[in-house]
Formats: sequence, structure tokens, C-alpha cells
Amino acid sequence: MIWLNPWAWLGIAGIALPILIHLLGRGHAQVHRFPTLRFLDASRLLPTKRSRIQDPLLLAVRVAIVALAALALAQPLLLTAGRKRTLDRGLARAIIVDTSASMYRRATNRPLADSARAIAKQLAAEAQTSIVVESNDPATAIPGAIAWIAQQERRGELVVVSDFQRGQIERTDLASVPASAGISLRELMTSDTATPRLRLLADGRVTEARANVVPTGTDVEWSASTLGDSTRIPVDLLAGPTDASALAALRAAVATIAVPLPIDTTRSFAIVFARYPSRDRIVASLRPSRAAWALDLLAKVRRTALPLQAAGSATVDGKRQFVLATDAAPSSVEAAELVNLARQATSSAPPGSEGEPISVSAAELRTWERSPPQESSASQHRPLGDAGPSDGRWLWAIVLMLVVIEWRLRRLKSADPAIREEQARAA
Amino acid sequence: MSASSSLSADVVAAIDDLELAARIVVEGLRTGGHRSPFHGYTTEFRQHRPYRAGDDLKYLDWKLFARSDRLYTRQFRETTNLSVLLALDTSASMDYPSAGMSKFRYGQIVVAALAYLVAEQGHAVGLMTMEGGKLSYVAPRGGRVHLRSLLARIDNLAPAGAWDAPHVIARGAQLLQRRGVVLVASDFYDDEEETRRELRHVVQRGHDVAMVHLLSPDELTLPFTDHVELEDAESGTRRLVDAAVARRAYDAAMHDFLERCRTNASRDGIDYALLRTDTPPATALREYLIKRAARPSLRAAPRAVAK
Repeated sequence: MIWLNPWAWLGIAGIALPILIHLLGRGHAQVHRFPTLRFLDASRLLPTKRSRIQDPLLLAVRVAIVALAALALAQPLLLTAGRKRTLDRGLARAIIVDTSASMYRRATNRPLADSARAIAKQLAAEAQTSIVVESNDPATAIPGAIAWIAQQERRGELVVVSDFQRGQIERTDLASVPASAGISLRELMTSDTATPRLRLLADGRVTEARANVVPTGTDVEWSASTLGDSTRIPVDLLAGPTDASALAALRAAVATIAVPLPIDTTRSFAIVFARYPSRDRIVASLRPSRAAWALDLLAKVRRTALPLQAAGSATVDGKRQFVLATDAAPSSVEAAELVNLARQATSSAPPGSEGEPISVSAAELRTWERSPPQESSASQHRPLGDAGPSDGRWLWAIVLMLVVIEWRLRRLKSADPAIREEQARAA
Repeated sequence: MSASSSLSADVVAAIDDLELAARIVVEGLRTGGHRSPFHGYTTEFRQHRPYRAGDDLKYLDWKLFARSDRLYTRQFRETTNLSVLLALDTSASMDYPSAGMSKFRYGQIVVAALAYLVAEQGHAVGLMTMEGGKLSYVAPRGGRVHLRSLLARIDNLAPAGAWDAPHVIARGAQLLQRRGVVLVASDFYDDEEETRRELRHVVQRGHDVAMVHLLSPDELTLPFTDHVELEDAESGTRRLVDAAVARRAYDAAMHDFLERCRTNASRDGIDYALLRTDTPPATALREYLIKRAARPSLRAAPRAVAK
């Protein structure tokens, strides 16, 4: 339930009025003229009680009238599913769900990412049109979301559901969101106190750092191990026969760059250079891949503006691989960068910063947000009108009935012969 | 039953002209077909009896002889004129309830209706009451002029202060020059024992005495529900009363009072009637007069004589 005019709640203080009236009106016994007092036994005469509120039923009715009138003025609106839909009608909502490694920390019994998906689902249901994009680099998904919103003929809103790890998404990333669209940032927090871990690969060794938070500070425990066979880089480099030397140089160069562990052996990449004999056949057989890691790789490639002619999933040498077809020379820096990105994509391990994320403060996030634009003044009240008037009308109906009851009670009271006599005497 | 007889007490009370109200009440009685219970001393036909030697021939019914060929003598009841003295309580306690029909107004209408009824039958009717603490007396007489004057006098009465019931009754009975009817309309709250004693004296002097006890429904049962401060209408004293607690005792005391009045009246040979102000005056009077007519001891004892 929502209140369209919550200030009217102040009117609830008005119930003090009937209570005061009944309190001040108590205790003064009415004087009635009576033909004789000879039959009134003196022993049964009692002093008038002055601690009792007079007419508790009438008081209850009057208090109810004031309270219900205050509630009715506050215009309650019971948000049924239908009304909620009506109120959210006309909103196109693009929802970006952060699926980076830090979102796989557990909040209570499930990862943050699951909570983020649930929130996204709910937000999507509330809007008339919506799209949900999952990305482990939400900043890269923003341009696409903006483009989608621009295509909708409705009020737009960009929603990011994330833990807002520092450096992952910045104010500048949101600067491109047009003023006609709103920005809503849903921050997910975790109480996970699991020990953050950091794994580094260097010189053929894996170094792991484990941080333990103690009351006096943070203890960091280091451990090192030798890199095993599992670190073999599953990126196939396919080039023409004349590029053999260039490929060798490329492999040697890339091998010197560290790759985070562990390697996900289900991910397999192939980079096809321009002079590879079967390149055209492979490119022709490419199929789009919906794997998050593949899309993530493509986003990084595009962001770094590396030369990429085609990408997709295809069977190469009897093995299903994600293929990147480039025109860059094997001996070029671009080729090395491309191979490096592919190698990094083979690992499901998060970057070191994901282990112990630093989040943007909620206060700062609030400054990045803005509400979706209001509808035009002509149709400003349309959603509420479609949802029907506030439920205050039912309260007014009850108030009306109570007023009638109160009137009847007063009539009954005044019909009391004793009071009638008193009134007649006063007249 | 006519429309007038069914007029409610409030409607009759709303009629400002007391004579008109009394006439309406009496018309209601007439249409009910009830004879006046105040049997006067007039000469009226009673019965036939077979002629006996020595009977006055002027009382022979010649028409009956012509029809039946038998001689019958007409018999008459010899009566004289009746004097009726009406006494109306003018104490402040009669001015209750102040809204609607008060006991006093009801008493005015009843007394006026009786005066009208008695006067129409050719009897003498008078009034004894108190005005401003002094006795007010209108000697019983007949005639329409007297009746109008009497009704105007009744109409001008106002309830105030206390009234000395024993004094009023005793003085009224003294002023009645011959045997008659003394009718007292009151709530009988004042000097209960002394009043009873005086009424008994009046009976012993040979008068026909009637008590018309006027009460409002609110007096029969305490009408209040909460704490109230009651002020005695006559003395002005006040008492705080928890009506819910006091009601039972009040009702019992009132019941005892009424029972005492009824029993004492019956024991003393006094005609007693309790009239509630919520009963239409015509209805109440009719019932009262029927009961009164049914009491043989209260009838004027006519002497059946054959003239």
C-alpha cells in the first residue's frame, strides 16, 4: 500500500479533539427537576464519578470518524499486481546484471549474482518493456543498453545491478546515458567475511595470498607453488606456412605474460590469421556464441579496437572452438594483444581486484542516479487514473456511515426523557 | 369510537382552548355510548307495573292500555340536583414533565371535561384549589355561563409552590351545602397521611369522594440512566443520584406508594383511579367512568317511587 498524500497523516492528531471533548464534558451531573425526592433512598445516593469518560460508544465512533477521515485524506492506494503494472506502464527498462567474479561472493546462502538476477527479473516484470544484459564488465554493456533504450518509444531507464566495485563502473561510463533516460543503481552488499584470496602467476610459479582480517589488522599469508601442465595455453594460432617464424616469435612473446589460474579447459580458442589456407571455409562456418566468456572477450577486443574480421564458434581440426579471424600480421603488436586477451579468457579466475573488492559508496551512487523523466503534463496522471482513484473513497464511505451512526447515537441520547426535560427547561 | 376520542394526550394538550379540549374529550365519551356516572336527583321514568286500585289515574299509561287492553301504571325515580366539587392540585410537582403533556395540564383537561360533563347533565359544579398559597373557591352552580366562567378559572391556574391538600379538601367539603361529590385530582405527594384523614372525614360527612391520581410514566419508573442531580420541584433541594443504582429502590417505593393509595382508598370507601399522562384523556376518562358506574355503592341511591 502506498499513500499518495502522506502529509495528511498529521490529521490523525485530530482524534485528540473528541477525546478532549468527552473528557471535559464528564463528571458534571445534569440537574433535573423531579416532582419529589421522597422515593429516593438516601442510602443509595452516591457521589457522581468523575473519572469516567461519558458515552464511550459515542467517543469511539467519533474517534473512528476522525481517524478514518485522516487516512482517507492521505489517499491510500493498495498496490495490487494490476495497479503496479498500470503504474509502470510506459517504462522501458534496460537492466545490466554484473556477473563479475566479485558477484559470486556469497550473501547468506547464495551468490550475489543470483540475487542480482532475481532483482533483474522483478524489475523487468514491473516495466512494460525490458531487456536484461549479463556482463562481467558492466561498463562495456552500457552503450548497448543505451542504444536499446533509444529505440524504445517510452520513458527509458537504465538499471545496473552490481556490487559496484571501484573501477568497474564509473560516473564517466554513465555520462553517455541521455538525459531523457533515468539511471537506477541497485547495489548489492554482502556480509561475506570469507578470506579474500589472490593468486598470481609469475616465472612459472603460482603465488597465492590469503588475507585474514583480525581485530588488530589484516594478516596476509603467502604461499607459492610450481605451475603444472594445466597451465598450457589452449589457444591455437592458425597462419599460413610463410608465417611460421612470426608465429614462433608471437608464442614466445605471449608466453612471457602471466595468465591467472585456473585454466578452464572447456574454453578453447583459435586465432585464424589472414594467410591460413582454410580461413574462408572456417569463417563461413562460424556460428554466434552466447557464452558469457565469449561475449566478454569480444567486448574487450572491440574496446581495445583490435582488428577483428569475424568471430564465432566453429569446428576446427575436429574440435569445437571459439574462433577469432584477424587480418593483423602474426608479428604485429595487435596480434600479440589479441592472443593475450584470448589467453586471459581461458581462465575463469577473477583478476586480483575481484578477491577483495572496494565498492563505490552508496552516497556516491545516489549522486549518479536520476529518476526517469515524468510523462507530459497532459498525461501525467494517466497511470494513477488507469489504476483507479485512491482507496480513500472506501474510507470516506465508512466515514459517512459512521457520521450517520453518530447522529443516531446523539438523537437517541437527546431522546432520553431526562435530557429532553433539561433541554426544555433550558429553552 | 370517534376520531376525537382517539386523539393522543399530546394532541389534546396542544389545544390551547381548555373549553374546546374539554368538549372534545366529552364528545369522545359520548360517542362511546357511556352514560354519566354522576347520577343526579331528577325525576325520570323507571318502569311499568300493573295497575292497582288506589293508584293515581294520571300515571296510567293510556297509550299502552289502547294497545294491550291492560292497565299499567308508570313508575318514576325521584332525584334531586347533584353538586360536584372539583379540586385540582396546583403544586409545582404537577408541572412535570416540563416537555409535552404535564400532569397539571392533563389534570386541567380532565377536570374541565368532568365539569363540562356534569354541567351538561344539569348538575352543579364547583372548584376548590389554591392559587398563590391562598384558597380559591368557586361555588357549585349550574348553567352554561357558570360553566364558562369555571373553565376560564381552571385555565388560568398555574402550578407553583406547594399546596395544602388537607386544608383544600376539608374547606371544600365544608362549603358544600348538601351531600355531593368531591373529586380530587392530584399526584398526592403532599401530606399523605393527613390527606387520607381529611378524605375519610369527607366520606364520613356523606359525600361521594373520588381520588384521581395523576402521574407521568417517567415517575412510575426512574427515567435516568446515569449520574444525575435531582432537584425537588417543590422544595428545591438537590440530591446526587446514581440512577442505575437507585432505580430499583425507587420503583419499589413508587409501587408501594401506589398500592397504599389504592388500598386505603378502597378501605375508606373512596373511588380511586390512576391516570397516566401518556393515555389520551378521553380514553382514560371513559375507562374511569365505566369503572365508577359499575360501583353500586357510589351511585346516587335513587328512590323508586310510584307516583
